[in-house]
Amino acid sequence: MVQNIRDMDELKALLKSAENKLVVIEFSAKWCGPCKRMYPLFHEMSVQYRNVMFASVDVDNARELAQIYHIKAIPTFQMFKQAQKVTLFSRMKRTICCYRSGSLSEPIFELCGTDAKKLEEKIRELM
Amino acid sequence: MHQAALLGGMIHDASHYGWKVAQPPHDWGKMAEAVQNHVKSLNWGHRVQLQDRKVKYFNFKASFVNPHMVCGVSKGGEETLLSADHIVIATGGRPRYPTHIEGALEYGITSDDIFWLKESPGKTLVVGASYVALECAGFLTGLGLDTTVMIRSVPLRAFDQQMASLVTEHMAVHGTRILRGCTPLRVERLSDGRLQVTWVDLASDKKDTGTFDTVLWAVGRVPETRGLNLEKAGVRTNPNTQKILVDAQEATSVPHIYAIGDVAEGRPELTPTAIMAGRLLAQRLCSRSSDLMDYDNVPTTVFTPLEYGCVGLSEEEAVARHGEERVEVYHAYYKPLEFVVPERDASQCYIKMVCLREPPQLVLGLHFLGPNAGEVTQGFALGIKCGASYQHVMRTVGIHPTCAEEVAKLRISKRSGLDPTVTGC
Repeated sequence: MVQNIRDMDELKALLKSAENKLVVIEFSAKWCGPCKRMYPLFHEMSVQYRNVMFASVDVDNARELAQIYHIKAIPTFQMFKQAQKVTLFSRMKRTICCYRSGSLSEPIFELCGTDAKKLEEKIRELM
Repeated sequence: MHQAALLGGMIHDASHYGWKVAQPPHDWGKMAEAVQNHVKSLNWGHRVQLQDRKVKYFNFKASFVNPHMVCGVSKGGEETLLSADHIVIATGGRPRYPTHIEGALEYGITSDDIFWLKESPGKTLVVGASYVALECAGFLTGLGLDTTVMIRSVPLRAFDQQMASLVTEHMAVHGTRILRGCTPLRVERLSDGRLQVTWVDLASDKKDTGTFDTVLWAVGRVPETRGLNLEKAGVRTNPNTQKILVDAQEATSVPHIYAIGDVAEGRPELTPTAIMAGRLLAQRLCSRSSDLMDYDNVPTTVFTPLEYGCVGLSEEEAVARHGEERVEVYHAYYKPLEFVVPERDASQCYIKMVCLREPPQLVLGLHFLGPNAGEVTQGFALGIKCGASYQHVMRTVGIHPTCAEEVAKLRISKRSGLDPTVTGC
């Protein structure tokens, strides 16, 4: 199941409810061809990996959220985990300051594009 | 959509080259979706770029409160006041509805709408003679739709008239019905949902009617200045066009307020021109440069079924400026190689180069009618910017086989009276 996230409050609630589980969020848009191709694969993964939480954000409907996470190209997949160590490598260019109980709102990994294999590998590695 | 139409033509040509293909039907919905997705991705790209460059983006409808203050209203109705050292107005223009024609607003659409139609427009009447009218009519015809263009006086008024005439001649020969010297009187909806248009032939004063699925107005554009409250800022406009009056620095009647693009008076209504003017203005405002925008020799292309690319002066303008005696016009009809095998009609494939008669014969304008006119014209625009002369042209070796090489091969002048039609190698 892929949950639809519309704003920061919903995102925070999702991350909180995830506890120690890995969260994978897809940023996409209705007009984006590659996103359409990725979606069924993303959905399949959500069915297969039950201990991982999957969500999607429509960048047109949730513009502020897309801006906060500096989404430049789509589809972009960001992974979050309530980890004690935030040294897991990140390809992020900036940090969101939210230093309570392990930087809940900061992604630990980001992947742009349609490499479903790479996405799945990373999910298996981090979950 | 022009490309979609051209591809239809190429599928037809393909069989001549040995491809075993039958002419397939066209799915308007699929094409429209692709176009719409692309436009939305462009809008996204612009927002991302603004963010990247740390430009604060306010999604507000703005109007002036005084020369230094702008009021922005959000979608929710909240007002925000913003003041700045410099203000640049770039609100562009919108298609005009001929509101004096009964039913025009209720039943007609404009170019803003055509790309967003989910279903095919069907049998269409395009009213207008601008490049928007001709381009739309052109691709609609190419997609297999019954298309009529209604022109009140002359096609492509601001362009070289000989070229404009060849453009419309090509369209008429290739399936677009062109009604010259006619103007619509009213549009009514019939019981079956179709539109009935009544028009008058201005020469004979005879009235006529026609039934269409869609009526597309392409009768000019109006600048988006009405809601800006320009008077509150003291920014003056041309009372006839309602465009903002500007000087060579793009400054309006108020020194710290600027206007660029279609909203400014006397500028070519072209996107790349507005973009460049904006960039140069930004450089000047940051005191990085004092370069002004050069509005001369701006190349452009009309993407009608047979494309028309031009840069510089039309023949009429050159003669008006320099006098017929001081102008030399070289011209030639040619046949694109790709027309030969599929036996396409090349009667309107034509090139004209307008030069000064005095050596070295500076090139004043180039006009190219043929496939890929935009690609052909772009390179020559650079040549003209560098002050190319006909002597340079004569020393430029052509690339074979192309249509562009025909420009370098121009040898026959209009003055000589010699036949400019296709010759051998």
